[in-house]
Amino acid sequence: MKKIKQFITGTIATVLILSSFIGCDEVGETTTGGTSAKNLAGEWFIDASDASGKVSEHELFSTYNTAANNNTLWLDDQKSFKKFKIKVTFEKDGSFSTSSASNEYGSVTVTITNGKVEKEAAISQGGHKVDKISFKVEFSNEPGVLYSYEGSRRTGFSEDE
Amino acid sequence: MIVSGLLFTSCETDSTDHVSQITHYSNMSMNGDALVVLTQGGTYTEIGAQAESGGEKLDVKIDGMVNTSKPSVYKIKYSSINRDGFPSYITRTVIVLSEQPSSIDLSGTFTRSGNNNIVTKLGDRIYKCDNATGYVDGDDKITLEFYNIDDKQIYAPYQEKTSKSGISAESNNGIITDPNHWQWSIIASSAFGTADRKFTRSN
Repeated sequence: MKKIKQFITGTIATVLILSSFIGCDEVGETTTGGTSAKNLAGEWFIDASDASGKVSEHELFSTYNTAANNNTLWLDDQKSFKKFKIKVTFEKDGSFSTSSASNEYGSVTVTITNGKVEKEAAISQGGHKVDKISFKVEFSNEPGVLYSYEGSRRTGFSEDE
Repeated sequence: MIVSGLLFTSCETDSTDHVSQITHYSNMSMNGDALVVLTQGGTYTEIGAQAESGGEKLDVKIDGMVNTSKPSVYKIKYSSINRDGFPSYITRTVIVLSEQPSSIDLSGTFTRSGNNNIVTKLGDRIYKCDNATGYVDGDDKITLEFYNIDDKQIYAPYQEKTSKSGISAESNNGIITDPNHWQWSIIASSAFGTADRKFTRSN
């Protein structure tokens, strides 16, 4: 009987000691990092031109990281002009390209060359110095036709919209 | 017993039980106008400001000074701190205009990016323009009164709801290049960024 009592007391004591080591729930690391594509990601207003001149003006365009968060980037024209959303590969210097990339918005494949983002190299519609994006595009249904896309980073000021 | 006692030691929480209290921010009011315009050589008299918090009068600290011999824009900052340590401040702007008759007349029509900005003279060194950001016609067009301080600097004091859409604006860095060119950037409560806005006379 005494042994049973001792055993029970011992067990309770052990449980209590162990449970007292359960710490309070501390909030973990709160600083968040950026994505691998953060310098290239954003919204842009883009003009597109072909050999004859401007064919599309001031269309909203998006660039953002892929789920893999590696050296790939989505280029998304928000179905505005030629309707394409493709993955490109980028380099550390801000240049990007891809060859015959499949298009999320259709069957036409897209080739991108000379893609780059330059810091504060463009002037927005309202006159602000902002980042510049530029690239050349060739669509599989128009072989040999090269479109030149050039745009400035969106500021959010309504004079730039 | 000790172990059982430890169990009752609770974790620290962010509860505000019994520690919440009201703080009365300082309410500040200026003696006289928030904008004072003087001519070079005139006298600036400091008439101060008042501050109270929850019915209690607070001390007001005054920072800044005016040199009336030098045409420029001066800011006088009045600040106070309530009993819980929360600060408040208000600012008076003092413009000292050159005593010389102005050698540049800025009235006329100026353009920026093809948009007109019509400048009307209200006094020797006081003007009003009808499109301060050089923007397309519309409800966001900002009307702004400004001062030609010394034929080189322009200053437009803060003006509330100065567009049809209700934008408030100010410009503290205007420069007159010559009678046909001037520029500034506008600090606006919405719609506009702080791009350099250069205007060229069209008539």
